[in-house]
Amino acid sequence: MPRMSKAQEEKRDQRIREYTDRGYPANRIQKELQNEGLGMQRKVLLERVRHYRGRGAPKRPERHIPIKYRRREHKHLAFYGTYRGDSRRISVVGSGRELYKVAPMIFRHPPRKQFLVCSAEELDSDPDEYLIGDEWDDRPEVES
Amino acid sequence: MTDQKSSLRVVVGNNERDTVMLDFDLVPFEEVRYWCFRAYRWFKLWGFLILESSAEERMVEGAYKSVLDIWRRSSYHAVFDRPVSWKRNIQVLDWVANESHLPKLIDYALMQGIKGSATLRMSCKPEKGKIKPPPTEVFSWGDQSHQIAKYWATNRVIQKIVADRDRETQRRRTRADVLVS
Repeated sequence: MPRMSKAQEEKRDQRIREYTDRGYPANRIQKELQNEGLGMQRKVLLERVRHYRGRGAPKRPERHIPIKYRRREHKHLAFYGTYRGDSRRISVVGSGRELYKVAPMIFRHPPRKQFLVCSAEELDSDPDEYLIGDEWDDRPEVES
Repeated sequence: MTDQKSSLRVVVGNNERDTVMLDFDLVPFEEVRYWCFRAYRWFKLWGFLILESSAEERMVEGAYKSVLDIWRRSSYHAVFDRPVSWKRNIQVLDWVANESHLPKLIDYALMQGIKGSATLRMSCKPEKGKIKPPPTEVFSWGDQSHQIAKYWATNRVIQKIVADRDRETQRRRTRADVLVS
């Protein structure tokens, strides 16, 4: 696509402002511009239209993406308590659903090592590798 | 509360490497806010949140013997909004600990460095025969939409997990009582 001259860019900006003042939606503005041979990238056009309408950046744009396609934020939780008088600590990484699944196991059984880091998925698939069959001490006096 | 006490075997915390988190143990609120503002300005941390992690109140005799004063001391947690690398995180933590000369904060900074990640408690915790409730928000400043939003998301998961555990413990206890009777 040939690069536009400065005069063409100014003309395009003027047109966008005119159409915005008339209350045209962004898609219609794009069509009008294309008919005049002044079409532009949609992302940039939306930014300009928002600017002329006096609106800021859209809030939470990810809300338009279906939940199953959204990027999953992994959470890091630390569970700590005492087992036979010694402090034990397990750090688990995973999505909320995975953590929710493994939490009852961790609340009941302490980890094999004093300090353990693992993913919730691994822990769920093989709990015996990471957790002892025994239970935590009743009332821990733990330092965070 | 007593039911909750016996079910508290494990304490749950938020474990992060990319969030700056500080633990001010037994420090007045004004001082906590002062250090948060200083770190926020010096490292451009976008915003912060202060949470009260525990409060202890006692009635003591005032200057006039007929008047009773409330003696109150609290501990606070601070969470900053800007995502940072672990190197930067430790830098902020050590800077505040070094500048403030708060002994408990220095201990906290050392411990986080040893562990390789920063942790703040989010559930109840038994201590000296009492139960510390989960931290509650007392002050916020600036942007809250990045790491602080993440902190609240993790908090929601933990509260749900802990509530589920308490419900399960209660159910088990009721079943045991029925069997005994």
